[in-house]
Amino acid sequence: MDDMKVRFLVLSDLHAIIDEKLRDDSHLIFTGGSCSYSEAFKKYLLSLSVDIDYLICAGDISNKACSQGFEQGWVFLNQLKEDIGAKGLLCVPGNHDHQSRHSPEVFSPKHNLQFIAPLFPTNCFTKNTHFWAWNWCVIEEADFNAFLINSSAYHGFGDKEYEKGRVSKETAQQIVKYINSGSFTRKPFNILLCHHHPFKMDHVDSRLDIESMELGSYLVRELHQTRSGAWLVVHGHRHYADITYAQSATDTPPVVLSAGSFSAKLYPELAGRTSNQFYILEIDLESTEESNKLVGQFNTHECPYPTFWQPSTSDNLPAKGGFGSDKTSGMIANDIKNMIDDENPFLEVTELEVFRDSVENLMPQGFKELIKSLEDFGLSVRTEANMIVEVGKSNE
Amino acid sequence: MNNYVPSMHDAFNARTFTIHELCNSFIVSDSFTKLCGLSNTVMIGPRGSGKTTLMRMLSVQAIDTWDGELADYYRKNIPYSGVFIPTDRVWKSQYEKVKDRLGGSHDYLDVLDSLFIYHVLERFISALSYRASRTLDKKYNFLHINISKKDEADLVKELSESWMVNPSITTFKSLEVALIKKKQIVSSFIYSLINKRNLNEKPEVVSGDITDIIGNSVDMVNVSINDSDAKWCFLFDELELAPDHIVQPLIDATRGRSDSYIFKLALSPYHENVRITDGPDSSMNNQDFSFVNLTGSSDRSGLEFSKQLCANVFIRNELDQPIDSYFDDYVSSTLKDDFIDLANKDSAFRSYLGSKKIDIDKFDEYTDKDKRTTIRKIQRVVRVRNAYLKENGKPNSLKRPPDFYGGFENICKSLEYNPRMLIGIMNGFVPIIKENGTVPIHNQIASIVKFCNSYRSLLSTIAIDSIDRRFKNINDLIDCIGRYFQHQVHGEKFESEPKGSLTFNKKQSINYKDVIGVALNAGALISIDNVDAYQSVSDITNVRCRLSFIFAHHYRILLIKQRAVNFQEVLKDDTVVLRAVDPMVSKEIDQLDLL
Repeated sequence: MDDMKVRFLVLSDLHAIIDEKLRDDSHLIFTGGSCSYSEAFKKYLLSLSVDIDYLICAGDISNKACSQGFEQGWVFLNQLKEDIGAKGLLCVPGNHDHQSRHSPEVFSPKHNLQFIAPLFPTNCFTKNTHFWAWNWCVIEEADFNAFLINSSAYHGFGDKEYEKGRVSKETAQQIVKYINSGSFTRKPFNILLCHHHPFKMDHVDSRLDIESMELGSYLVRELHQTRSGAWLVVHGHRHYADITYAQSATDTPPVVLSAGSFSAKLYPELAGRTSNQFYILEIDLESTEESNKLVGQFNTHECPYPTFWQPSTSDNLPAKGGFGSDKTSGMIANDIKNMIDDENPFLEVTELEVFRDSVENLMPQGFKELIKSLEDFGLSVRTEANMIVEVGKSNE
Repeated sequence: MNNYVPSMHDAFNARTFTIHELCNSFIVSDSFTKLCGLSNTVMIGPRGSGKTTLMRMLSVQAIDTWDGELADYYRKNIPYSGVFIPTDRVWKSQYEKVKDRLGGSHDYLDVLDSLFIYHVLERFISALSYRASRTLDKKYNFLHINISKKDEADLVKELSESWMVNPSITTFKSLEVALIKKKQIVSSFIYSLINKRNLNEKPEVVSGDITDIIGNSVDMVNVSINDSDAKWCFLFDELELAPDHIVQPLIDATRGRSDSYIFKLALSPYHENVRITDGPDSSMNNQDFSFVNLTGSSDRSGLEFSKQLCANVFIRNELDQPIDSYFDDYVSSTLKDDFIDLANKDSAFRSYLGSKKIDIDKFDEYTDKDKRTTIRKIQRVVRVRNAYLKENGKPNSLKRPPDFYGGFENICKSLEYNPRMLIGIMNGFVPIIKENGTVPIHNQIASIVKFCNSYRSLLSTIAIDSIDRRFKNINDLIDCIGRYFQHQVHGEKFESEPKGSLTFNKKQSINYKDVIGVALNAGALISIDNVDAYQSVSDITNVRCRLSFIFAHHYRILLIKQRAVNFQEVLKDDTVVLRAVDPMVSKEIDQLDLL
């Protein structure tokens, strides 16, 4: 973090299994404690030579509430944290981690999670007690506060409650009250980590989205209105990778990362549109603090085949992208257009350097919008790794 | 004819090095100095002999990246911009497959030819783009071009129109990308042609004589950069992998002389259908033509080069003592001991001594002059023959070859001063030195044996088509030759000058010339005599060759040039016909494509 940046490795929806019968569900199969998929991932990750500060997992470590699968997945995450030298592991449970279906052996959906070793979801008994009692807890780090939410807290109660996530109004208000109290120390940014998506994602497949976190949008809105710094929301559950700004009444909206699944086998409707992925998020502390909105970039890596990792080739999400740009795509396009004329028919990478931060911090859709705007101006663009390397008058 | 010879050290192929890796490990040799000249050049050498390294080092990007005093010298004295052009081995199979489907004459020849032309143009623009770059942080600005953006845009427009490509922006980089895309379109069309299914629309392509297209393009560039004297050097590498009808026009072009460009062509030692010297106006009659032969370096220059190359490998591994000091030397017996020893156990040798009136008991009384004419002449044969005989005169099946095949100089010699093999073997010695301080002689011998065995396995993968069951692959051919030479040294009769090299009859060589060619290209056979003079790449009857010294310990033969025998005598059968199986066109390759 010497360079005023904090880097997170984000994994979600592992769906770790130990039972060969469930191999259609996940690539993360542990046999006798070992797993070729996770080994290939670790090897690839280490080859990237990136200094990771924190590891994030947005739940569904296990598959269909298998306690042994959960144990293997949780050990894998803790070992990964050690292997990459991360300072901390931020994790929440998902619906697959809770035993929410009624059966003679199950007397509490969360019982196994409360008594697992190492401690879950944090390594602090007191924080965990708070988490299981109030369905949230806070982890305070030097540069951020992380709020961990159990969006599956009510699974096992009520009819088909397990089909969706939920945060109660009282929980949301309790967190807001905490933030507004003297116990809270403001940091450059905050993280809200939950398993279920706080906003509906009807675009994921042909079904209506009924699985989102009830009162999720209320929670995000209330947290943002505390004016307690920039916000990053990380969730999993849908196995569909996406990054957006949250609905906001300010110019500093929270960034919402919908993490794709690290290792679950994707159902056909999803398979062509996203992939098994992990992310490296890099938060620019200085710009984030200065602008009061989250500024940074992300890298996406995917595993199109078991044991073969590579930079993402998918649109959801692409290999590189960003958030918190100081300019809109339209502003950048206009600035570029104004630099090109008959005597200067194209701009090269060195001349485009002035736009680098603005372009790199555009969201993927913003970057596409920029290219479209330039083309609408009669310009052609050559890009490499989400950066414009050459732009000039289109050759007719 | 099978021009593709697999290499056991592809990992050390200069093709895969970055420019920085290439420059950092480069050792200047006499061959490089010869190659640098301002003349059309044909360079021949077997796999691993360093052709690609030399060619790539002449590229404008490498010359501009290379550090050191020597580099400064070459930067000052190389007056042209090198355009390195690797050969894509897919071309040949594509040509062959189209020929299989459509015959030799069809409507798509221009499309087939354009693939190579676009490849050359792409490399040309890549070199131009490097020279004219305003954005690269170039170290020496070697032959840097200052060109305004407007002039660049105008030139790109003109070039793209004449080349039938459509860059999205009028920049050199965009033109390079457009050429790459065009190659993909052409390749995809050829693929559809081969598969006869869903034939793509025939692409509009540049057509004409390759040398005319190069000449015109170079002229357009030179006018645009205001340097009509600018010279461009097109460095065609691995042409043995290219279809013959691509190679021949390039060679023919070296007959003429252009003021704006020269060609340097790298070929394997044998290339059946390529003619360099035929005809009164052949290239060899042109004083602007030069020839570089990487086969069979002289011991002096080969050793000098090997020392620098190996020292470089060691220095990179923090071993900076003189190279010789890292190698234990073998304990040599005296000449007298060898003679006495052999005379005691070998009746054939005793007969030979008797016939030459050499009295072992008076060995010390012989003058140096006597020894020169009689004793020293046979000393190497005596040593090798003696090492493989027991006290009772029976053959001695040693567990490992004798120590005299070891020592730094003999290792280099055994590997034919082949840079790729030398780098490979030296890297293997590094951990031994780090542990022991030196490489013990048994480790040296073991490494040579290991390299030899790998090489023989590799040669076994190159099939021979023959009804003679002795010859299933190139290794069988080498084995036949090796056994003959072995018998010369270790046979019942003592041969003072055993035969150890081959010549070929004009009449019968037609029956086996392409397998000999493959063995030459693989470096299993080494041409000798006048290696600096021009050597035909299509006619083996002009060649005298020996076995590579890498086999010397295996066949218990000498590490020196020896008398010749006609190959027909080795075969012992005038009717043997040997043909190389060309994997580029065999059905097995079609299946391999699926893997």
